[in-house]
Amino acid sequence: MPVAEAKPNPLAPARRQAPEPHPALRHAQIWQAAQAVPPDQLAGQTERASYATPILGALAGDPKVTAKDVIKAVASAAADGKIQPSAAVKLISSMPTDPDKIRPWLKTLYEANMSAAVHLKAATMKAAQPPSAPVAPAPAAPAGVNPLAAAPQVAA
Amino acid sequence: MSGSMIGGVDASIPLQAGRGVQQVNPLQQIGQYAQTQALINQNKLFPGQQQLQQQAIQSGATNLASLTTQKAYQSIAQLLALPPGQITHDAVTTALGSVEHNLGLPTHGVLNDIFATAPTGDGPAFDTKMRALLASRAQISPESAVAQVTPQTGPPISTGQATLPTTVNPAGLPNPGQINPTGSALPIYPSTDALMGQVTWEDGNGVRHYGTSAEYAAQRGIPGTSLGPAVPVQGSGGAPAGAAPSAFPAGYDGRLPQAQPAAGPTVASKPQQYGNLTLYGSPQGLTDTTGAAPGTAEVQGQSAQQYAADQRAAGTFASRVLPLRQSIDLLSNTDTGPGSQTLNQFRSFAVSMANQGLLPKDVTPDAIQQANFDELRKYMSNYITNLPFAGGSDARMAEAVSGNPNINLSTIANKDLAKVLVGMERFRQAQYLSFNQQHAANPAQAAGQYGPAAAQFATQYDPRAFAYDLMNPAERTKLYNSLATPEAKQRYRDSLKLAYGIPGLMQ
Repeated sequence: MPVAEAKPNPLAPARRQAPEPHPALRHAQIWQAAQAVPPDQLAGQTERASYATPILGALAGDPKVTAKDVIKAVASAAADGKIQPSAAVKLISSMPTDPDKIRPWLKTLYEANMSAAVHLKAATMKAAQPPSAPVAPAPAAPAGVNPLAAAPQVAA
Repeated sequence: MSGSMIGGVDASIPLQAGRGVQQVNPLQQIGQYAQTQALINQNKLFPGQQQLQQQAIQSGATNLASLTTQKAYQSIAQLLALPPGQITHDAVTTALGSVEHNLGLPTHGVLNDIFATAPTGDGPAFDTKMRALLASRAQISPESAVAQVTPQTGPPISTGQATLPTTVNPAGLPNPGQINPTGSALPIYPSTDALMGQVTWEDGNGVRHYGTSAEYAAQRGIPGTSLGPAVPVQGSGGAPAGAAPSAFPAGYDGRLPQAQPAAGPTVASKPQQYGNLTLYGSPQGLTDTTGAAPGTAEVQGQSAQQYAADQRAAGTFASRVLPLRQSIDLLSNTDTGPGSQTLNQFRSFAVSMANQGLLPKDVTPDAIQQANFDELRKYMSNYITNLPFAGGSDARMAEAVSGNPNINLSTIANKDLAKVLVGMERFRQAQYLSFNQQHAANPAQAAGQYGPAAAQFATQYDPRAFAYDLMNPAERTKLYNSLATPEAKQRYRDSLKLAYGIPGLMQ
C-alpha cells in the first residue's frame, strides 16, 4: 500500500518565532548602550538619533511607504553628511524585502531611535556636568568612640 | 540590640554619646529570630495570605509605575507653552533626557505612550498628539484628564444683536486658549425700556408714523416729555409717579398694546384706539413676548426679503414674458447662431442698397427676414434688460446674456430656452400669487413665512407644466410619458390645473 504524502496540518500552530522583548527590557538595553557610548562620541550619536527620528516617524506613518522612499531618505541623509555611506548601505541592506514588513521595521527603528535619543541626551547632560571635587576621607575614629558623638565640652 | 534600628543604623547612638558600646542581649536576638520564623511558617501554612501579599506588592508596583510616568509627564508639561506646531521630536527627547538625568525618573512610560499610536514625523500631527498626551496624562483624576482634551465652555461673545456661545481650547488641543464660536446665536432682545421707546402711532389724518418716544412727543408738540420712562411695564396699572400724562391722549391708561396669544412665530399687534390716537406695539417687542426660538427672526427676515424680491418681479411679469413670447414666435422663421449677426448686417446693407436703387430687387435678400432678425434681437435684449439684476456689472450682464436667449445661440436652443424661461417665469408668478391667496387678509404681514411656503410650493408643483401651451402635442406626450411615477404624473396634472386656474397666467 503506497504511503500517502504527509500533508501539513492546517490546524497546527505556526512556527513559533522568537518573542519580542518586553518594552521595558528594550528600553533598558538601549539605556545600557547609551551609557556605554564614549563621551567623545555622544554628541555625534545624539545628533544622528535626533535627525533620524522624525524622518523615520514620517516614513513609518505613511501607509503607502515603499522601499524606494526609504532608499531615497537614506541616500539624502548620506548626501547631507548625517550618516556615513557605509552605515547607509548597512541600513538599506537590513531592510526587509517583503513590502508588508517595511512599515513594522520602520516603526521599530523609529522607536529605538527615539528611545536612544532620550537616553543619549541624558548621557550627554551627565557627561557635560563638571566633575565634583573628591571628598577627603574622614580620619578614623579610635576604637570604642562613637564618631557621631558630640565633642566634649571644654570647661571655661 | 535595641529596637530603634532604622536601615541598619541605630538612631539612638547620638543619644548615647560617651556611654561606650553596650552588650547585646542574646535572649532578645533569639526572640526576634523566633518571630521571623513564625511569620515565614504562617505564609507557608496559609498560601492565600502570601498571594494577597504578592497582589499588594504588584498593585503597589503598578501604582508606583503610574505615578512615576505621571511625574515624568508633569515635568515636561512646559512643552505645552510652545507655540502651536512647535512640539517636535527634538524638543520631546531633550525634555525627557533632562527628566531622566536631572530628576532620575524613568521615561519609558512616556515613550511607550508615544509609541502606542501611529508614528509621525515632525509637524502638526505630532504636535497635536503630544499636546493631548502631555495635558491629559499629567492630570491626577481621569475627569481632569478628559477635560484637557475636550473644548471647554468659553465666555459668551456679544455682537450687539446676538450672543454667541463659545468654547475654549484647553491645553491638550492644538491652538490652546483659542475661543471658538459654537452653536446658534442667541438673539439679544431689546429691553423693555428700549421697546417702550419705540412706538408707532397714527395721527389724526390717518398717517402712520414710527419712531422714538421723543419723536412722538416732538410731533405732538409736547416739549420735554418722553414716552419711554413714562410708560409703565405692562400690567402694572396706571402711569407711575413722575410720568408725563400730557404726552398721552385722553383715555390712555398707560399700557402698551397687549401681545396676542401665540398664533405663530410672529404675533401681529392689534392697533388700539386711545381717543383720536391709534397706538401699535413694536413688532420686535411682540416677537419677544412670544419667546420665539433662536434664529426665527433670521429666517423670517430672509423670507421677507424673498417675498419682496418676488413682489417686485411680479410687477414686471408681463414685461418680461412678452419679449420671450415674441421671440418664440419669431424663432419659427428666423435663423440664429454664430455668424448670424454678420449675415444679417450684410443682408441689411443689401436691402438698403436695393431700396436706394443701387441693387436690382431680384438679387436682394428677403427684407422681412432681415426685419425679423432685428426684431428678435430687440426682444431678446429687452428680456435681459428687464431682469432684476440688469443694473449689475458688465461681467454679470455678459454672464446673463450667455445664459439667456441670444442671437449667438442656435435657433433650436433659443426656442427651447425661451420656452423654459417662460415656464419658469410663470411658475414664480404662480408661487407668489398662491401665497397671496393663502394670506388674503394681509399677505405682507405673513411675508416672514414666504420662504418655507415657497420651498413647499416648489416640491408640490412641476414647473414644466407652466410651459404646456408652448409645447406641440408630440412634446407634451413625450414629457408626460417621461414622468416615471404616478405621483409625478399627479403633480404634473395638479400643476396644470393651478396654471390654468390663475387668470391670465397662460396667455
